[in-house]
This record gives sequence, C-alpha cells and structure tokens, in this order.
Amino acid sequence: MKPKIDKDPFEYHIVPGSNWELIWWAATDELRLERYTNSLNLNFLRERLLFLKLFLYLVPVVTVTCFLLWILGIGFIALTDLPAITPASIWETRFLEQWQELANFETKFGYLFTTSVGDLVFGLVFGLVVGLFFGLVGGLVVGLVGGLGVGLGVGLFFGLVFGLVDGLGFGLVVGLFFGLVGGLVGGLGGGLFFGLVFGLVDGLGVGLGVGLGVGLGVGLVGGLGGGLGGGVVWLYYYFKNLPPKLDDNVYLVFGRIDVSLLAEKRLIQQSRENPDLAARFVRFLFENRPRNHNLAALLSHVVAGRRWEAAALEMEEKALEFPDFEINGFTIPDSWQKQLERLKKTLIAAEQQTQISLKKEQFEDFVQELKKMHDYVSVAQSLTFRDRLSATRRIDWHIYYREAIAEWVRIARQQLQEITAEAERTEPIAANIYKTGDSLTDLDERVFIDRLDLKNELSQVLYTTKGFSVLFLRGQRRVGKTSLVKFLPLLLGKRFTVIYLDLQGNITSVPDFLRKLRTAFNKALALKEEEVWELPEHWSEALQVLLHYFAQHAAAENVRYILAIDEYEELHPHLAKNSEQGAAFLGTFRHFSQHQTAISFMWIGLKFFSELKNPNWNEYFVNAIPITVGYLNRAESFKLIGVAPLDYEAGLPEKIFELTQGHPALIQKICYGIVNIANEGGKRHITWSDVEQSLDKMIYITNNGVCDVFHSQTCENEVDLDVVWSVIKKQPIPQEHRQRLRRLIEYGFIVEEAENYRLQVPIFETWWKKFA
Amino acid sequence: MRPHIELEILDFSACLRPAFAKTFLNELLIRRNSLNLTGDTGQGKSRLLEDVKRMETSLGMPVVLLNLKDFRLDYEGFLRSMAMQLRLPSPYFQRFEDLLDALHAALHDNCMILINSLEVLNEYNSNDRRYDAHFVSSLNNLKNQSHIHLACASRIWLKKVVFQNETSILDLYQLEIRDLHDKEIEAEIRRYCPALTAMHRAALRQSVRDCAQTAQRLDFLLRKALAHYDPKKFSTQLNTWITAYEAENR
Repeated sequence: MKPKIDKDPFEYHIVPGSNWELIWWAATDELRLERYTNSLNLNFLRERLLFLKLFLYLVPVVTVTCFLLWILGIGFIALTDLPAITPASIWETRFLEQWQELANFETKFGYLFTTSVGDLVFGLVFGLVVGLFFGLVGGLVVGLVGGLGVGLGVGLFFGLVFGLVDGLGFGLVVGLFFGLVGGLVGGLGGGLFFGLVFGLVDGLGVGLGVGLGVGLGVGLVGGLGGGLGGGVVWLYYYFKNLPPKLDDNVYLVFGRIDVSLLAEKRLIQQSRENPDLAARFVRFLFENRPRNHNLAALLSHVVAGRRWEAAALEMEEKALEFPDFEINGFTIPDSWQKQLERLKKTLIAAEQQTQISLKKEQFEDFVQELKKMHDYVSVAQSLTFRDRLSATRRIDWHIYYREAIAEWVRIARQQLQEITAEAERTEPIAANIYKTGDSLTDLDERVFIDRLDLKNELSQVLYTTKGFSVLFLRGQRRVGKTSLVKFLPLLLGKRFTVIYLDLQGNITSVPDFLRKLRTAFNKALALKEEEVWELPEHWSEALQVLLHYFAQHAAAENVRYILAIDEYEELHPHLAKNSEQGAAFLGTFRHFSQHQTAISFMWIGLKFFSELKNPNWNEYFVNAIPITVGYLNRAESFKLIGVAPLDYEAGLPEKIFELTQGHPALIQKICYGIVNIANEGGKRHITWSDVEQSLDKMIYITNNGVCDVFHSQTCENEVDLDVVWSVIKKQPIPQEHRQRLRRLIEYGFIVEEAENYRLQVPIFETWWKKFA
Repeated sequence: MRPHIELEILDFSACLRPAFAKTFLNELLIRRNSLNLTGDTGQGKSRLLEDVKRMETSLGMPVVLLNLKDFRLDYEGFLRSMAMQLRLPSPYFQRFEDLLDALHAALHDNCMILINSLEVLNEYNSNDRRYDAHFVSSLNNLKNQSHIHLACASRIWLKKVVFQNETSILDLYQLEIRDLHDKEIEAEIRRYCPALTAMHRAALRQSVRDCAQTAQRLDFLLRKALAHYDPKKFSTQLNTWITAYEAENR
C-alpha cells in the first residue's frame, strides 16, 4: 500500500488533470481557467475548438440537471395540489376548471408534464445555444462560464415558466418559478451548494432574494423556508464541524468569494496560533486571489505581529520587518519604518557594547525607542466611510504591533534588569566593599578605619598597666566594637594575643561559658587537652581552676593575653539565676586581678556595669578601665567615605558626616548604597540625588539595623520612647524621666546643648519621625 | 581583601534564575553579607536555595539547607540535620550553642548555611519552645563568623523575631527575589519538558508569567506536562491544569 502523501493545501496548479476539472474551474475559479488558457497560447480557432470539446461535456450535465429540477417542480405542484390550496383568484379560470377534473397525483403530474415538456426542451436548447454563442464569440473562459450559467438558467426558465404560462397567470408562474427554483435550488441546492460556497450572506441572499422576488404564497414559503433552512443547516455544519481553516477554506477553492464577515475572526485567531501557515495562506491570496488582497494584507499584519512577538524572547531584531505592500488601509506609514530602523540600530549597538555600564545606558535607550515605537503604533487608524463598511478594512490591525511591542518592552525591561544586576555585580566603577550589617573581619581591612585615638588609649592602658587589668570596651550597638576587637591584633602588635569569645547566642549556662572560654584559650595557644575538662560544681571554684590554668600557660610566653568577651551582658542572666554564686564568681575575677599580670580581661558590650544587678557587676569591677567606642571623627568618616574611588560632588562627604555624625554603620550602609548606584549607572560622579537615593534604600526603611535597634532594644520601655519624643519635639522632660534621659545621654544617643537636648545623629531623628 | 571565589566559572545553567543566583552568591560569598532572601510564597525562594545547594561541589564548601517548616516542632531534628549536612563528628545536639561549639572546633574552612521559611519563628505558637531568643542570638553568632555564610529566606524581611516576651533582632541584608523572567521560564520548560513545541512553550510561558506564585505554578504545570503532554490537546490540557492548580492553591 502506498503511503498517503498529504496534499499541499496551497498548491495551485494551472494544468487541469481532466476536462471535468477544467469545467470545475469554470464554475469556481475563473482566474485559474484564464491562466490555463493563457498558458496554452492557443490561436483563435484552436481555442474555439477546445471550447466546443468542453461544451459537449456540459450539454448532458445541464440537460440532466434541468430535467431533474423540472420534474421536482411539477411533482411538487401536483403533490401538494397547489391550485386547490391557494386562492382561486390567482389562477386562470380555465386552468382551474381542468385541474379540478384531474382526480389524483398521477393525472395531475401527467397533465403538468405534457403541457410543459416542450417548453423545457425549447428552453434547454435555447440556453445551450446562447452558451455556445458566448463561447464562440468570447472564447473559452467566457464560453464555459456562460455556458454553465446560461444553459442552466435559460433551460429551466423556459421549461418551467413558459411551460406553465399557458395554464396559469403570469405572475403566479413567475412566482412559482422563483419559488420552486429558489426554494429548491436556493433551499436544497443553496443549503448544500450555495451555502457551502457563499456562506450566510449568499445562502440567505439567494433564499431571501428568491423568496421575496416571488412575493407570493408558495414562492415565499419555498424561498424563505428553503433559503433560511438551507442557510441555517449550512451555517451549523460549517461553523460547528468545518470551521474555516487556514489550509482548508473556501478561499482556496473559489476565486470570487468573500466571507470576511464570517471567517476573519477565526482566520485571524488561527494566524496568531500558526503564523507560518498563515504566511503561506497570505502568499496564496496575494498570488491567486486578487479580490482578497484586503484579507491577505490584514493577515500579513497578524503574522508580522506574531513573529515580532515570538522574536522578543531572544531579541532577534531581524524579525522586526513590516510586510511590504501598498494596499488601501493597510499600508505601513513611513514614520513607522523610520522608527523601526532607529530601534534596530539602538538594539544592535547595545548588544555589541561590551562595557557593562555603557551597555546598560544603550539598553535604556533601546527601551525608550521601543516605547516610542509603541506610541507610533498606538495611534488610531483613520478610517474612511468605505473602510468602515468593509468587514476587513475596519479591523484595527495596529493592535497586532501594539501587542508585539508591548512584549518587546516587557522582555527588554527584564533584560535591562539583568544588565543592571550584572553591572552592580561586576562593579565596573568601584568594588563594593562596604558592609551592611555584619561586623568587620580581617577580610575587611580596607573599610576598617584605624581609630588612632582608641589605639593610643588601648596601647597606653595595656603597655603601662602593670597589674591585672580589666578593660571595659563600651559603646552603642552597631558602632564597631566587635570590628575593633577583631582588628586588635593588628593594632597592638606581636606582644599581645587576643582571645576572642562572642557570647551572643553562644552560651547556655555559667559552666558552659567557662568551658567555651577554656576552648577559646586552648585554640589561641594551640593547646590540646586529652580529656574533657571536668568542671567543679561551684562556679567560683570552676573559675578559679580555669584562671589558674590560664596563668600557668600564659606565664610561659613573653606575651600578654587579652581575653576579649563580646556581648558580655549575655552572661549576666545566667549569673543572676543564682545571685549568690554569681557574686562569688565575679569576686573570683576581682581576686585574680590582683595576683597576676599576664592576662587581661576585656568585657565588651553596651550596658554599663552599674546596670547589671544581682550580682552587681560594678561592685566587682570598680577598677575596670572604661574605653568608649564612639563614632568616627570627621577625618575618619571622610576616610571611610573615600574608600571607594568615587568622585563626590563638592560638599557631599561633609553632608554625609553631618547626617551620620560619623556613625560607622550608617556610613557603611549609605556608602554601600552609593557604590551600588554608581555601578548600576556606570558613573563615578556622585551627586546629592544619589545620596538621597541611597538613604531611601538603605536607611529610611523600617528596619535598617541601626535606628530600629536603638528604638526597640536601647529604648527599653515606654519612658525611654517618651523621652526621645520629647527631645525631638523640644518638649520639657518630666523630672521623673530624668534618670532615663541621663542614661541615653551617657549612651551617647542624646546630647545636651545649652538648656536643650537633641538626638546626636540627625538620621536617627528623621527615622524616628518616619517609623517610630 | 576579598575571598577568591570565581562566580563566573560556576555553572548556573540548571538554576531557575541563573543571574539572580549569581547575585545571591555574590552578596553572600564575595561581599560577605549575611542575607535575608525575601519574596512571596511560590516566587521561587526555595528553588533558589535548592539550586545553590546543588552547586555544593563546585562551590567547594559544605552547603547546609534547612527548612524551618520541617523542623518547627523538632528543634533537635533541626540541629541534627544541620550537623549531618556539615558532616560534624556527632550529629546529636540538644542546644544550638553546643552545635556552634562543635562547628567552630571542627570546621575552619568556609561553609554556607541556608535556612528557609524563617518566618515560621514568628508565625506559630506551637513551635518547639527552644526556638527562642537564644536561637536568634545563635544565628547572629553564626553570621558574625567570617567563614560562615548565612542566608535565610522568608516572605518578608524578618529583622525582628517576636517571641512571647521579647524581641530579637536579626540583622540580615535584604535581597528581594525578583520576578521570574520570560527567558528563565522558557529555559526551565526546555529543561524539563523538551518535547513541548515552541507554540506550546509560549502558551505555557504566558499562563505562568504575571501570576502570583510564578515558580510554584510553573513547577506544577511542568510536572503535569511531563506526565500527560499531548500535542493535539495541549490547549485544553493547559486550561485543565491551570484550573486544577488554582483549585489546589485557593
């Protein structure tokens, strides 16, 4: 068995496979017949001979068709006994008298048959002769088309009209003729033939036209019933079961057809779904259907829009082409073409650019050009009166480009987002080494600002103090205490070893603290213990053992050890669980401090010793040397701001300093935002607007990690919040709140000015007003 | 000095959001910011963390991925899973602090800890009681270690964890997950359902984009397509699957 080969639906051969096909072309596709005839290049005589040959094929077709229709017509009159059921006034008296004498269907049918058969023959012959005449005079195309039409029409007309005119009134006969022909042909045939071919308009048109033409009884009933019935049957069949498809529709068969009103919506939809198939259909229409160029143009735009849309994902600018034709109502304006060229050039330039910040800039231009293009295609079409009447030309085809460009804009924006992120990531302007929250480590050397004053203070204390020293490194949260401690080894040099222990979230009990302290010590001195340290039950005793252990190992080295305990306040709740033992524990520290010199303890935290009660820390660390970690001074702030190689507008570093008062975490955050902006925008020059942008993104947000910590942690109760509000609003502070005010002043959040108070950092005040 | 991790040579091709994954790792490893990845449910936070976890070998460091939802009633399970992923000598801990000790003792090289669904801490009263302020403190402790890279994911920026009587602050840099791009959706479809035609890929893409829960919806539809794709009935199938998804996620 041969495999089935799918026929190309758009194949348009002009050499018929048989004479019958040629006759079919005559009925359906005049242009193809004409092309075939032209391709034969026949002389006058040969063309007529060919016509005669084909005409002989036509004669039996026309004869049999006419005869069958005529039989059906007279059969209908006889069967329904039409003269008896219609008003007598419309019939000839003589005919009615004879008709009433006829007893049954056979006699009535025989009567009608014998009285009209002669006329049918005459009509047929006349019609065929007329067709023959057209063919001989006009040539093959005119002859075949005319032969079919005239032969059928004239044959039937004479057969029925003149065959019955003797017995019936003329009006009725004409009515009957059109009723029958219209009803039968337009109804049955129209349902099957005209309906299939011409669709609703033609189906109804034939039915209604014929029916209305009759204007009388049966004619009206036959015409309307047949036409409407046929049309409805066809419509149901056509739309439910055989919707017009791009590769299977009436345009592919019939040359003089226009079902735009009905089929366009579906054809447009299918063109959107399958633009490649639609493009082939469009080409077919342009080449072979001169009467359907409007439809072809419309679908061309659908196809182009769809292809643009599909090309958006990969930004294929080559797909951005308008269809090239000049058809009324469908021609692309020059302004669109010019904008499209500009658009493509911008895209190519952006894609070829390798420098990321320039690439971003050019891509932004491209997005702007896309928006302009969108504006162009968003201009409403100007429709003439004729355009509005046309089913095809009144459709807004600009929308297909609008949708496509909207898709391009969308994808381009996504692409721009990627480029921006890449620019920020690859840091074409400056590496973003600022930290946004985490403490600095040895990897952040560049943004650790040497605090000479602190360094000197620490050095002086540590080098000059002979006895055991307890240092208390205190400062606000996020001010850089931990960072400072992590850089102590660098600051202090090789004579000091810093052993760091962060208590934040790290201890579960006092013994746990001691165990961790020992582990940190061992780690720093690279000591390995074979057995797990078994702690004495009593805390103080355990501490004694531990401190003895430290002293024992520390003495061997010519180095001073600093045990730096960060977030020391976390130890207090554990000590407070047994304040008696806690007090003894702290007492052991005090005692130890008076008897050895190799080890110093550095407590690091926010709270003053005096704030920690039961046990009372301040009782045991009276001799502790307080060192306050404050904000950066002006020079240090400028140094931190200047770490990134950016070109700040004159006065900007000063403004940043004024806003932050040298708060290191705030400066780090602001500068982090600024470097991101610089990298994203590919610019080194920083203006006040960039700083504002950074402030909005990094600082003036609910939780910036600095101001919110002050609000929710440092301000421990309602009184603290009231005090801050009073300071901001310049309201008097009640006497009973003075103690809390004093605490915030000591912490360094509030400063006294003459008789007034203010928040030290202006950013805190702005944040407080916005979010507190 | 910055750590030497060449992001450009890593293979991000299996990631749902390759460029964003790069940004995520850039913030975490190069800029060394502890992160709070934020985004609505179904946007693809979990997928991003899973993608990073899959890159563990090429990153050359242990990557721990934990979902707090899975462990909200099982604090020790959380610690056990973390310890096992970190390949600590013993996985049994009763307190986070103990695990931190073991971690500091055993691990000196870089490691990455990714904790998903952090909002669980704020949202359930029935959580294991040990998810408390100490737990948040321990997370803070983790993030302050220079060799530990911590990233948490939650629907909103979770700077405050409010427990019964106290508020704990977790200072993480917010990185908001961005919308899924069309190219990424397309690549994901090609990766998981290469059989889909271009037209069907476009239809699937359109049905996903601009929707809430883009990544979750995409994942659902791709699983359906993988199991039931019929090129002749795809448009009907797609509508059915979308209806099913919406019914499931209403």
